[in-house]
Amino acid sequence: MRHLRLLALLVLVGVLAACGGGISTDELQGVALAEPTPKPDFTLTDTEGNPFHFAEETQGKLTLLYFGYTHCPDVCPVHLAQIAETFDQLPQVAESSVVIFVTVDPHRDTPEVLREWLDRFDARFIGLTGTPEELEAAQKAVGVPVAFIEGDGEDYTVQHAGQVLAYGPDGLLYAQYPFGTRQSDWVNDLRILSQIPPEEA
Amino acid sequence: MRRWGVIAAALLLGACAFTTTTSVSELTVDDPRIGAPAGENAALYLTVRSSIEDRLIEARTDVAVRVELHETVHGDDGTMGMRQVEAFTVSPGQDLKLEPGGAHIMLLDVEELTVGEIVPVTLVFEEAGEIEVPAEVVDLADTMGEDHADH
Repeated sequence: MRHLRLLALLVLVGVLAACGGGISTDELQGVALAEPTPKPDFTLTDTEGNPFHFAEETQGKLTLLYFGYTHCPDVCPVHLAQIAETFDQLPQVAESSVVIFVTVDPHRDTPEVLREWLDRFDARFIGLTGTPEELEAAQKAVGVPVAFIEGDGEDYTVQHAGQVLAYGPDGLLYAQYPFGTRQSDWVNDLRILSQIPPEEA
Repeated sequence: MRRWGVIAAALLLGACAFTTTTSVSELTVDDPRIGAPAGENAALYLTVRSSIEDRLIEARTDVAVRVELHETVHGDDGTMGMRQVEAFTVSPGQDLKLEPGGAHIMLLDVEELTVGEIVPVTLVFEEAGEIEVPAEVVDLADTMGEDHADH
């Protein structure tokens, strides 16, 4: 009997939690995490040359994080173009979100190159760089595979994580977006994620 | 005797998308499109159908300093990268599909291109010879059409 009451209580709590605020992360189309994980911290350098403390400066905002490089013609620019297109469709979501593009090619992606490239998509996108050691530490902190260089000479390519990570305004990682995500899924998911109440400061 | 430079271009103006088809006797190239470059490089996508076994061995265009054939590599660790290849194969019933996340023709040190611009590209096939196709510059978000995504 006692167990039954406890069970009923648990079910009630579960239902209330699921309905709280009318946000249902069950509707996410990205690769959702069974258990959202906390946002890691790392410090890199932005395109103005200032230190950027990831956890602190993205606090309370829907945060999209991606590691790539500007010489990438296929996967990287498609992700950014899709996010920029979503922001065009959802201007209010864009206002409360932050997009962080971390280069995994600091040798060719100088702050100027990075800035100019990101401005082609959306001038609000933040570009970060660092030493190879700092960039490796950031990828490990985030939990994506560490990028590595393929080929010789100046025309080398970089093999890197293909997914965008999405942290809710509460600072939790809810979903990842692999290459091949549909435009309509981006719109659906960013709308949902932006409604999650922010973490307490 | 191979036929060089025989071009029959059909323009199909659809309601939602601008696509072109270019054919020689054995071979058809559909929907050549270039993702608008944001940086130094861009990717050209297209579909080739052929009634005979053939290989795409080269591509040329005036808007890029160099052109390479690339396939996308999916690492066991979840990374993605790309690798240059010598040729792409097409055979009857097995279309050659160059699309985002798969394979592409990489344009290196590409000129500034604007969405809607038409770029002439010469494709060189082992059997069918040279074919010039009009590639349209498209918004990158549109290269991942709803139909192209395989979920």
